Amino acid sequence: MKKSIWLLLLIGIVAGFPAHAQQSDSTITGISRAFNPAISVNGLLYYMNSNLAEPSGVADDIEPGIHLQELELAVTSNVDAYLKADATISFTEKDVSVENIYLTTIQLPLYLQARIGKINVPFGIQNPMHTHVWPFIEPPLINEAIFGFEGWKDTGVAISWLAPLPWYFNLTAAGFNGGEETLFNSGHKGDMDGLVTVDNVIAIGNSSTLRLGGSYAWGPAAFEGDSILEPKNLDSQVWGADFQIKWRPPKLSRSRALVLQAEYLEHKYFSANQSISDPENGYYVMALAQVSRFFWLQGRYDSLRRPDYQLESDDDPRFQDRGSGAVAFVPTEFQAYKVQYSSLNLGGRTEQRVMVQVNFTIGSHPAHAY
Amino acid sequence: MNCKKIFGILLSVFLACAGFSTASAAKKLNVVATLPDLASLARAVGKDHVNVSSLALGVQDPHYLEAKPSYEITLSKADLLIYNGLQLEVGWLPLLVQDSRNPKIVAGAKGSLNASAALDRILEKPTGEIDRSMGDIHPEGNPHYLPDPRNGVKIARLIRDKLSELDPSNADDYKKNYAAFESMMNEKIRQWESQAASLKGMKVITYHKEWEYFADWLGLDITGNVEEKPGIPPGPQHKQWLIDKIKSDKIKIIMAANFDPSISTAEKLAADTGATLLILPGATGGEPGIDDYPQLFDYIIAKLLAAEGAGK
Repeated sequence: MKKSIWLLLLIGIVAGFPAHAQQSDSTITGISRAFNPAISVNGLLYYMNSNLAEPSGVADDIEPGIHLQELELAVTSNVDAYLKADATISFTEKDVSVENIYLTTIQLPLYLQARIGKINVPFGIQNPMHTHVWPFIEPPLINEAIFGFEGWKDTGVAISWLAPLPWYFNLTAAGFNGGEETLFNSGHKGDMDGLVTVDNVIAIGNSSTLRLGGSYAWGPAAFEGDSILEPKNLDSQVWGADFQIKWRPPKLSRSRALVLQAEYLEHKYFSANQSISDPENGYYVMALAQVSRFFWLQGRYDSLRRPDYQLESDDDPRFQDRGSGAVAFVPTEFQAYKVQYSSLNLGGRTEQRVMVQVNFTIGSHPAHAY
Repeated sequence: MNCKKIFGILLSVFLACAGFSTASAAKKLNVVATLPDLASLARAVGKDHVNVSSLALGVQDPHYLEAKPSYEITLSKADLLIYNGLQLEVGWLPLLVQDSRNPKIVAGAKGSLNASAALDRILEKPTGEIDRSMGDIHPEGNPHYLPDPRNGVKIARLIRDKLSELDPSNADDYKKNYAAFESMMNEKIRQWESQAASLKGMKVITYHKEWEYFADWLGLDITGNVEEKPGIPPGPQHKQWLIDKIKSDKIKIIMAANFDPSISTAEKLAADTGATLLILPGATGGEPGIDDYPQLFDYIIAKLLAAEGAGK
């Protein structure tokens, strides 16, 4: 906790620095300030109330009461004529972590782009998103079950290729360190996991786009179940498919929009190409409607099926599903308020949650992907 | 399927597409402009030697474009990117340029042209400390300079020089095309100034700070904005201030661009005060029949004169 306070103080100093930096181009040392990186801070605060005294289910990273969900310090700048660097440090009430630190090429030919460092792994639509741009306060059940609440972030190299085709066809191949705890934690240093993703986005007139994507990741892993096998003989494999339609009429581009989105994910363990576990799978479907300049109405249904080895007791439900509804008030690009209700079916019990989230950004924050 | 097979298939697709790309490369320069006015200027100078496309449509608010993947495809094939600058496109263009993977158009490359470099005067450049409590202000000054046709001529000259640099074999044509455009525009500017002489000194309210350069050119007096601060809708006190201002100054016209948000606020203000709300195209293509940059001024000035005449 003390560490967090000192780091928060440091952020305050760093974030306040550029305002003074504008007054002169260089410091007293004669070193130029003109090349300082863009710095931004995003804050997420929430209130949660549950009908259960001990909130349960997969989504237990959100606790009752008022809390800091995340404070994100983002720094970005071109390194030189060839590389851009991005760094994101995440502070929560329990932890401080380097969420991202990576280099992106800006001069590669043949429609190629390489990224090296710790990144939000580009698996599907939800996983690469930073927390403050999630459409709902909690991630979908299946994403949280497979990748964890914050999503799958890993250190490695990703090379993507934008095919010179009439529509957007982006192919990414990546190799990661295998540090992901729930997926590729083989226990053997030096093990790598791989990822291939395909992302298609087709423009339908000037108002709409259709996105169809697929992702597949694999790597050596330690099996979580009772039958402990040697990791070198065991693979963890995840695949996903995603679909999205976005509509935003150009004439009303600031007041009307509709997003329909769905993802399916499945995770299995294999040994010698034979499945040794039930699949862990699930999906979500959601609709987001911007109904005026400042208001969004949102709904999501998500479902999760868990394998035997994850069930801790007979009461532990194999199937979980949840319905969520939210109203978002977005007065400017730099602040947003969300009120969300969700009902999580845990077999014989239902957990109902009411949540309120405050989201703000200060500083120069880079644009988010479409 | 093993990894070698997957890699082989991916490599084949890659090589096939790379070959397709090279073979289908057109001889014309591919010019991508962020705004339709800039695209119109590039067409006027480049004519048959260029293929020109615009990312924003004339009916779209250029501050708030989404970084659509289809724009990345367009930019990936560009030989030249022409952008407005003064941070108008800061919310979407840097990401698009990065993800287009086109080294020709990255900042500082030959194929990246900041149109605002042509200007010799930038309005409303903030002095002193600024922050977001002042609304969506642009630290480098008001970026809505294209509604002054004199700026359009300057930018066309800049485009001429850039096209000549990228495509020296057609430099003579770019020179001729620019000369013809400049001559036509100078004639039109004289004509518009003559037509709009009666507008000089006329007090108007504008929705957003997008008509400052237009007013500066024709001598209109903008006495207030519907927005309380740039990008911030009016609160009750500001609305009352506007009503009092319109009544006390006998303001007849409220100007808005057809992509401004919350136009209903301006409509109510007009209804409460008896002023005329003119919802005008903010760019080329903003209304049917406005197919190029000069036609934009034909349309706007005709509408203003009609509203002024009706208000007398």
